[in-house]
Amino acid sequence: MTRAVIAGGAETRFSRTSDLADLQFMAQAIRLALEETGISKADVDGIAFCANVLPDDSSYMAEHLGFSVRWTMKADYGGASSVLSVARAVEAVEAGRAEVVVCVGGGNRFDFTDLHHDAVSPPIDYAHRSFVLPYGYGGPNMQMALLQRRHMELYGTTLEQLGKIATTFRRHAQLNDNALLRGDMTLQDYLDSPLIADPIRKFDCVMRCAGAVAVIVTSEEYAKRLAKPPVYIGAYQEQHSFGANDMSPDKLETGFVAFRDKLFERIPREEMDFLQLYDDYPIAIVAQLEDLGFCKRGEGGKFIEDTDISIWGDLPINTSGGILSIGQPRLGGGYIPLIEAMRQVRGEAGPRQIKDAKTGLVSGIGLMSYLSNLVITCGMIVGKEPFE
Amino acid sequence: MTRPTPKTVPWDRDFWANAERGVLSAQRCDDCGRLQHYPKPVCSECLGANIRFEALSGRGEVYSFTTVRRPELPEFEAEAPYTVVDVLLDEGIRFLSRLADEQDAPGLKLGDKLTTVFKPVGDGTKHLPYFVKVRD
Repeated sequence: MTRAVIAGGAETRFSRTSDLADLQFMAQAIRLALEETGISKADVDGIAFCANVLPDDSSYMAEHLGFSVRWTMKADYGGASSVLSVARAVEAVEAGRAEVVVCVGGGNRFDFTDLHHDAVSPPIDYAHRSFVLPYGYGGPNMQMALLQRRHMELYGTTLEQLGKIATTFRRHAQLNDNALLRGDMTLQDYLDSPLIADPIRKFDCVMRCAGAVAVIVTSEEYAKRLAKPPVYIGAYQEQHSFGANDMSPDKLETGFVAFRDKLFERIPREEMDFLQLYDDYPIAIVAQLEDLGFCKRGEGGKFIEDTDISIWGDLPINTSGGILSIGQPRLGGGYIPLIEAMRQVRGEAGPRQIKDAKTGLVSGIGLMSYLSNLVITCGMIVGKEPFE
Repeated sequence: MTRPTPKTVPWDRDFWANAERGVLSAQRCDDCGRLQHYPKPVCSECLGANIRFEALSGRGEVYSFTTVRRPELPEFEAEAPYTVVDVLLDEGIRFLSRLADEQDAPGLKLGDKLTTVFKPVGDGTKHLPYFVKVRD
């Protein structure tokens, strides 16, 4: 059977503002990823776009960028789109539908309307249209606030514990010259940052930015011809709309519980040299650590307090600064954990390099449900050596 | 973007009609007995179409809440701060809403008892359920 691998990937410079349109950013990221891997554009026979707000269909986008391909898709899975697009590309390569698939996402901020030719945001889903937005509710800040409130009330999770996540990632970002937020952040700075939707404060919130990231998936055979070593995929799982049919779902239980046993069946948690988790909010990290089984339910705050999650610690998390300190280039944000995992196992992380990093976990989370929490959750174990 | 208001669709017409009369209601499936909110095109348990709206008590308790200081949409900035509540209704289903009166917000905690009131929104033809605190 053909085995698919991650041949490489690259990101553009990230910025707060830019004159580039979404497809120009994505083209730039693809070009950088092709250069990084040494792959010729003519060899690309599959392309996945994480671009839910672009009205163009995926095959039209392929046409705009001059890709004549055997396989395309548009990933509309919120923040999980990036990791999910890679998983879909792996399936395509392993099924023989394509051999070299570019997965790309990102763009400019959607509030810059002059850069878009048509609708700049997707049509609003039914529940949001009539039962969420009319209250002035909606958007991740408030949704995460409802979750964090309950976590703090039920389990005694503290702002100090959550602040440790934000400040540790900031220290990591200071070693990443493409992170947009690199100023010193003390715990006091975190606590003093203004309330947005209590208990969520400014330094809990991911910052939108402009930029794009591309990752290339190929067959192992194809990757062997390239200069750089591939990254292997050991396990992958995803869950959609967990608890969707419960009319009073537990707000603190996420879809990760549905697949954690399968995800770590062959490669146990203890073998993870690092975690690169989608981090739009510190409370999302706590929820993931609990539901992925790194600690018990309700003990995520204490786990953070007792664990050195820095690059130099017991369980390094988000070693490039996370999107909390790097910025969130639209749906390309989800590739940031994957790109950092790739650099860590290749030994290319420079001052952020974890000693002997061989295996790690990458996660994706996306969209927020009416009553529960994350609509999409996914996890991918990646490594330096082939997994048997 | 103008301020978002609810838009009636074929399967939620009676929810808004009931709301106009000051009645909070949810869909009951006649095939399997399930009670559900938000309104859905079919019963999301058995996919049956025999669903009708049933009046609810309008009472419940705070499951979670947040006081919004920086709204996502600029159209709501003038109203901030305001408090969004995730309500566990006495019937066992949850309902997202907002406090009708910000004077209920100070000291609000999980488990506090709430009851429904309606406020006209948009052009005034739609009535949206809000909640107020039940005083002991």
